[in-house]
Amino acid sequence: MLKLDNLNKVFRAGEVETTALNSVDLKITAGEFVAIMGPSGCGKSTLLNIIGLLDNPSSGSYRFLDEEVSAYPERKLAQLRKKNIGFIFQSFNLIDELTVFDNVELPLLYQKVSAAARRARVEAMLEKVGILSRRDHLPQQLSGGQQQRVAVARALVGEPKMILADEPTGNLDSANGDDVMNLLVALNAEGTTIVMVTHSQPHAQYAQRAVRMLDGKVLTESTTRAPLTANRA
Amino acid sequence: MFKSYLTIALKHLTARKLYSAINIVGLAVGLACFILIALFVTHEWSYDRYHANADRIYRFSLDYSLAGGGDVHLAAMAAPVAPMLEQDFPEILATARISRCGTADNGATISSDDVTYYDTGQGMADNSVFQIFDFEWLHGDPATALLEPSSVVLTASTAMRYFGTTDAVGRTLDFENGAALLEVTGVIGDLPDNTHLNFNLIMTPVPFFLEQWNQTCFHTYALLADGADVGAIQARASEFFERHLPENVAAFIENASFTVQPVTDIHLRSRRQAEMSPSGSLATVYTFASIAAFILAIACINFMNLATARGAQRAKEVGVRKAVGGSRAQMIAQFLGESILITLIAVLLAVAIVELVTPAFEAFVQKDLSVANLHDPRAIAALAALTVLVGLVAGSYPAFYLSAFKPAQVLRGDITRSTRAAAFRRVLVVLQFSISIALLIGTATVFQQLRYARAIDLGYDKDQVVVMTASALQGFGTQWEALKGEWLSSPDVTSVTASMQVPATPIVGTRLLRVEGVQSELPSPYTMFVEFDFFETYGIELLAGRTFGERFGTDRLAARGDSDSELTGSFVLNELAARQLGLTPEEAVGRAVEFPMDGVSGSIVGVVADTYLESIHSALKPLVYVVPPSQTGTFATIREASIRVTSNNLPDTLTHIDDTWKRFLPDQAITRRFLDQDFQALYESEERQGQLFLYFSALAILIACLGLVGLASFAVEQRTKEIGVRKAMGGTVFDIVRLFVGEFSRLVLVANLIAWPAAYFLMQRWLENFAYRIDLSLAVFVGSALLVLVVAFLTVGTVTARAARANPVRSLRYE
Repeated sequence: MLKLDNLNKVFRAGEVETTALNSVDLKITAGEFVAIMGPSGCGKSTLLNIIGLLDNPSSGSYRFLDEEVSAYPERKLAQLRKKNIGFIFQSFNLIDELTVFDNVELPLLYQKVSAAARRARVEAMLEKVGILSRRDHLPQQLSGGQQQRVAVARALVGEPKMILADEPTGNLDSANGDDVMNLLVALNAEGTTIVMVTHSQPHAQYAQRAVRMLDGKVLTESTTRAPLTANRA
Repeated sequence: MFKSYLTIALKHLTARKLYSAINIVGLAVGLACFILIALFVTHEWSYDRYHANADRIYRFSLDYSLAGGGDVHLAAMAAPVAPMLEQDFPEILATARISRCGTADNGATISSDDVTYYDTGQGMADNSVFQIFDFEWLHGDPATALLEPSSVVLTASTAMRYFGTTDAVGRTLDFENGAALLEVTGVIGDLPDNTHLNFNLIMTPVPFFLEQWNQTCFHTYALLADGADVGAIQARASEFFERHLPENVAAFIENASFTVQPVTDIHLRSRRQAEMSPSGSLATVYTFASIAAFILAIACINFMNLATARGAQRAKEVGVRKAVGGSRAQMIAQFLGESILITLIAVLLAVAIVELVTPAFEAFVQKDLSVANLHDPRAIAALAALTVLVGLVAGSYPAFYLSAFKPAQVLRGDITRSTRAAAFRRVLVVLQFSISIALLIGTATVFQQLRYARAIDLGYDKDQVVVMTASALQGFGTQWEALKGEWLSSPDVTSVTASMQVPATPIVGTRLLRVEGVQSELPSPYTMFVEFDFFETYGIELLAGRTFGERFGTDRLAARGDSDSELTGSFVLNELAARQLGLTPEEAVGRAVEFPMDGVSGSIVGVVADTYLESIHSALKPLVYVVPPSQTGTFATIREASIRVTSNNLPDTLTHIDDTWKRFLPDQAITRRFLDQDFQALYESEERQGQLFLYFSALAILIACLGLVGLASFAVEQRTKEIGVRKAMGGTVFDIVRLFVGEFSRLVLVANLIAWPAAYFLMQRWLENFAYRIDLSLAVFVGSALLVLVVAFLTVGTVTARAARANPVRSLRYE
């Protein structure tokens, strides 16, 4: 799926330089469920952003689906993103002015899917995450767990090859958090690659592999469980 | 996708009502000003373009120099020239003459069976005028209407005035009490506002006039063939007159030539002597267009500033859209679309404002702008184009700014305010206030110049003077002394005189003057024909010698010896004429003097003070006053009576004046006015300009302040925590207000650095239109700067004071 070689990311603010990623090597195969862990400021989210084509590395190589994308312009990154990657954020990042239905529909609009097909796919996805009855609600009318389920639906509706989740349970209580994790596991069982940043050790156990980071470097990689059967439709 | 964009756009509009209102109202006011001024500018540009052959119609105007010096540039042409042009230039398909002596009084007494008017809109014209120009024919045949002698064509409202109907063909009008009986052969629609042609009644020319080279009131037009080389015609102008000018005329004038002017250029680009209508002003058009552009720019700047200042509120949305696959180009399209939507709402509001204020605006600029035009397809298309253009321009910077948010950054909550964007916003605020300050300086300067013009010592007393105008043909006839005596019989009439023209009208008519003992001739002094008591009635100061007096017996020009063609009498000069001859007033008195070209001679009996008989647009002129012979000829030299009255019993006095007129000149319509009304009219144009400057300055400041309200409100909102902390640390409301006011005020002070040089340059150019003018005053510049500063203080201070008064605990809990 993806391969990072000697990846570096340096942030510059005036005269201050911060090395967020330092010679990172990482390989993720299709269908894996990988958890990235580490203390605050270790570079987890930066790594996720680069993997998700939301940012470019300062140096090094990033091959995604056999394409070298490290120096791709914004336009090409957007094209790759919309076809292949779905995002789930800690703070949900739903657009407050749009309804649940409109939020989930957004990726399909950018993929230029027809109106009829969009309606069918959005409703199917809302049904899948159990939030169809709230389709006309605004995000601020939902609980945290409900909002995260909407975010999951939005991430999945485009049928991406990979889901990137940045602390998806960070703002949820344990019950809702477990629900979200079970959703992710089910997705992974269907063949979707999942890369998840998390602070939670229990939730990291849902993944097959855990990558630990410290100070911008990958410290260790360990297997947490065997892969589930992939039955992707 | 469009539905998503529209939903978001409408939600944002309604969610933040204050900002939306500021944006929409600010843009709407700016657009309304722009549309109103565009209507005015379009109207001014449209003069005479409605004629089907407008691009091939030219006016041939006369230029010459007087023997001895002085150039004359007339709008009209000598009468005999038109057929000679057709003869000499095969590319001229047709010519037409319209005899109108400029905007000076072209009056004649005209009567139908029922009514008599002193009609100032009459003139003569060739029938070919109906082939060259387009008129709306209601009755009659344009092919033949003015072919027969004593035919007349009326405009519709003139026909209604005389006959109560437009169907007046075949009816007759009496011209100048039996001088001619005119048969109505045609009725045309009233001339539109946007033409330089100015008449309401035109008759077949009297053949006698068409042969006279001294008849120079004939505006001469030619229809040229397609593709005619106008330059080639112009190049042969001097040669044309060398060939055709009679010798006796050539003795008086030199360098006779013509200027070929496109008819579409006349209104805005021609300011010759004796134009048929008051000229428009290209400078005014450009000024108004600039003002419109500036005000719209201020409104667009507001939009940019508010949109970018509130950028943080759209950051998350931009990040999400990019994360789910939106490209920057799509973000830009979205924000430009929102901008066009807001502009569309503003345009609709602007159109409503325009329709509301247009009657007042039309009355103000004295033009019929036909606002109904806003509903026709071309206007709607223009409005649509304006909407898109303004939406794109105003929305461009915000669109590029907002779409640049990096998803990785904003989605983790890092919405660092760009210092570069903040600096650009400050530049925009400076620009807004530069324009406002410059407009204020312009306003103050215009009003100062007007005040100067009104307060200047004219050298004569214009108040309490009633003016009565007699017909050009008959004048006062033999009734002048009787009229004067009867008027003076009223105790409330203190003085009576007459002249060829009264103050506050342009002085025309120059003659070469030769003075005993003076080597050089006075090239072109202007001649004023006056009756006795002229200087006394107007209170013009005598500097040396004496004024005219009937008791001297020799002042009025009279035949010398047995010769009818040579006249002798007394001359009075003004001080400038004496000075140009190199003489003091005392040295001038007693010298023999002559108009060598006219066979008039005599001696200088007095020198009077210079007077501003015209507006201060024109420099003082050297004047020679003479008392003409009593009227015996066809045309009246003297036809304006000036009657100085007291302010007691004014209605009775006016009745006495009118009754006296009716008694001695029963066949002439009464035309009475007060002289100070004429004086008022001299500066009407500048008065209007000044008021327009004032209104637009106020609007510019209003719009800029709306922007300040928005920016200040947003700044306060962004720094709520800071305000809370400052208050918790002991800061007072005053300290908080001073902090914010200080930041914005610095921008206003910087704006002066741009505004002052620009305003100085522009107002210096404007003042050059006046021969006598004020000096630009530093006080005006400082005053304008202070006024804008105070307004900015109050605006920002009011907004921040409210936030500063809030409980700091609430502010600190805001986070």
